[in-house]
Amino acid sequence: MLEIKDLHVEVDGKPILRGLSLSVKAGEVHAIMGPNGSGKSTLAHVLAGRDGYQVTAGSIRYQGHDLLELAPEDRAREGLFLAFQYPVEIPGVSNMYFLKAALNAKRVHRGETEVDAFEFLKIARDRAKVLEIDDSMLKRALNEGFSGGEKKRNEIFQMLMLDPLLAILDETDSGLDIDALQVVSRGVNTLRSPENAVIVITHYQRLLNHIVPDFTHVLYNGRIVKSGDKGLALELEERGYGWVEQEFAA
Amino acid sequence: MTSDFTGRYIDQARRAQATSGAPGFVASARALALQRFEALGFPQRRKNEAWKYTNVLPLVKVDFDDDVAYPTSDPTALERHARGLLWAKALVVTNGRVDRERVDSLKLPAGVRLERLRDAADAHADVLEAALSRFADQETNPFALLNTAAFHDALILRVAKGVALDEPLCVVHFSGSQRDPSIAHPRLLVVCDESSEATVIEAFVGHSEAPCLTNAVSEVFVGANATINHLHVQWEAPQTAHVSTTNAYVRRDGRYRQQLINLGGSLVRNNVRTLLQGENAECTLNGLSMVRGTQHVDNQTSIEHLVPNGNSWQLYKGVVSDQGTLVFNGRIFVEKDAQKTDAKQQNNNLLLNEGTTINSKPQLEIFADDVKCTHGATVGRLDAEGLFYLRARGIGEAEARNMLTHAFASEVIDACGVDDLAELLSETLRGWLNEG
Repeated sequence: MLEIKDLHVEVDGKPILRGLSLSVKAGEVHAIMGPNGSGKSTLAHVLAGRDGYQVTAGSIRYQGHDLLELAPEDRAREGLFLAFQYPVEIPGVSNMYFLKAALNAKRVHRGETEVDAFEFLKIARDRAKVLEIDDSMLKRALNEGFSGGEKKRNEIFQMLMLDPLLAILDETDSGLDIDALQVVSRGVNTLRSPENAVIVITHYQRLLNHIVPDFTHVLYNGRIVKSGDKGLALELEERGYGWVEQEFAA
Repeated sequence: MTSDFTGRYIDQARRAQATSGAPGFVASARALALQRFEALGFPQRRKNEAWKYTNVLPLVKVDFDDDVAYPTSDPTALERHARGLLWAKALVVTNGRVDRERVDSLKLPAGVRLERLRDAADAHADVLEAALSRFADQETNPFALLNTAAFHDALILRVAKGVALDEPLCVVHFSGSQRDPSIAHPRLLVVCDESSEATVIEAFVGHSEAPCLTNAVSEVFVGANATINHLHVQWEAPQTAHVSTTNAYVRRDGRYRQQLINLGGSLVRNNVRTLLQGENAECTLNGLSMVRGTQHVDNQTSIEHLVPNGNSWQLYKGVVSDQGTLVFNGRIFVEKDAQKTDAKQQNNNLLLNEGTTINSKPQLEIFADDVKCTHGATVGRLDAEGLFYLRARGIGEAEARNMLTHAFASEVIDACGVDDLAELLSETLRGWLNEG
């Protein structure tokens, strides 16, 4: 599904990713862990197509496409989804209106008919239930005045509505209390199927108790320096990142 | 100084006055207005600070005809151009003219009177003194004086003490011309007595094949503890220039709200002046200007706090694209005795591309020492973070831009206080954005 090869990325001339490779297949959940500044969020943003990142070498193939050639909206329509670490507040655009436009953009792209307001509401209420989101949150302006937890729940709600092939969760656990963490995890686990894949980017292991990864990777200094199974996450939790830094310091 | 082209306006005004059939006190007020217009002439950019950014000379040199009764021979044109504004309580005024039957056929509740000046000047002599004679004597805007001198007729709306107009009254000013350049001078006088309530929509729409000019004046007297919501929706034909003057006089505990929406026209100039004359009076002046092509929109507001404990709020927003020009000058005047005044002014502008022009100027004249007065102006572009967020969800770039622009403009539309109108404007805005 996703094949990243020797990816080098700079921001304002400063190298952030320095030869990252990663292969993700349908049905898999990958956890990417690493200390602050290791390049985790950069990876998420480059995958989603944000401006301001210069890819200087390497390639990303996604579902047979050269991902870097696709505009952000086309990536999304092809089933890629990024749950933002810091979801943007957009006053004046209601959550519902926004999501209906997003869902229909994807449906049109796939040659499907658009959903009308009634149909949309039915789907939305069904998905909202999983995340304990009520109608009032759907009617409010997109993320405006939402608490940290509400924003993250809204990201996962959007994910369930758009039903992506590849979901990338960028530190979705940051700022969540244990209850919210469970709700969010439930949403992600609802999505899991043999057809799609999830990349969970996180600093801490605790989310991985709820979303159990098939693979764990340690990102350090812009490279994946170690890969393993879910046990690696537990090891990192226990020993911290210090040993990684010592072992792989450039 | 009278140049050749002002002479034509003066002749037209003389003819209008001769055929107005109004009693002497109206005639003398209008003669005074004409005299003062003659003395002032049209404003010139270099000599008149208030007109610094708007050059009206090329406009007023056009040979406008003031005798066009109906803008078009196409009977469906009105429906098309009124764009959903023909509600239950709607009155259509064409090029400043309206039939008596049409006015009389409006079903208005007891205590609400709507009449033409030519039919009922004597009955309203008490308010016309202030609205015409004092106006003619004190007004300094030449266009407003010209309107006073040259209008074909005026509408007078009176709401009696304690009466609430149950639904909005919509005056649709339908202006323009099929062939030759034409000018209209719509005039509205609204007098709301103590503790009354009314929502008045003035919609300026038109049909024009030729360059035209709408020169409107509206005066609103807000009685003690009365509440007036006044909506000015400028939706003129692309060839039509629009100059408007709105004066509101607010008594003790009165509330005046005006929403000024600019969607059409070529050259547009709005003068909005509110005088808070009684204690605890308040006003809200909101504006939204959508400017594109080579449109030029100039909004001048003046809020005058004349007595203590007045409140005013102001939110003017503008969206400018192509080679459009938008001007905002917001004057807040606080008289020496007007202590505990609380005035807030905000002017936010969104530029959609390079090549646009924005002039934004707060003008604070504060002579009291115990007041709160805040103002702020911003000029910006669409938020890159927001754009990326929408695109990352599959929404195309053009639609994402439109969505954010619509959201920016919605703040004013949503606050207009008339749900049906807000919905209509919101849809119009979507159309406006999709055309761009």
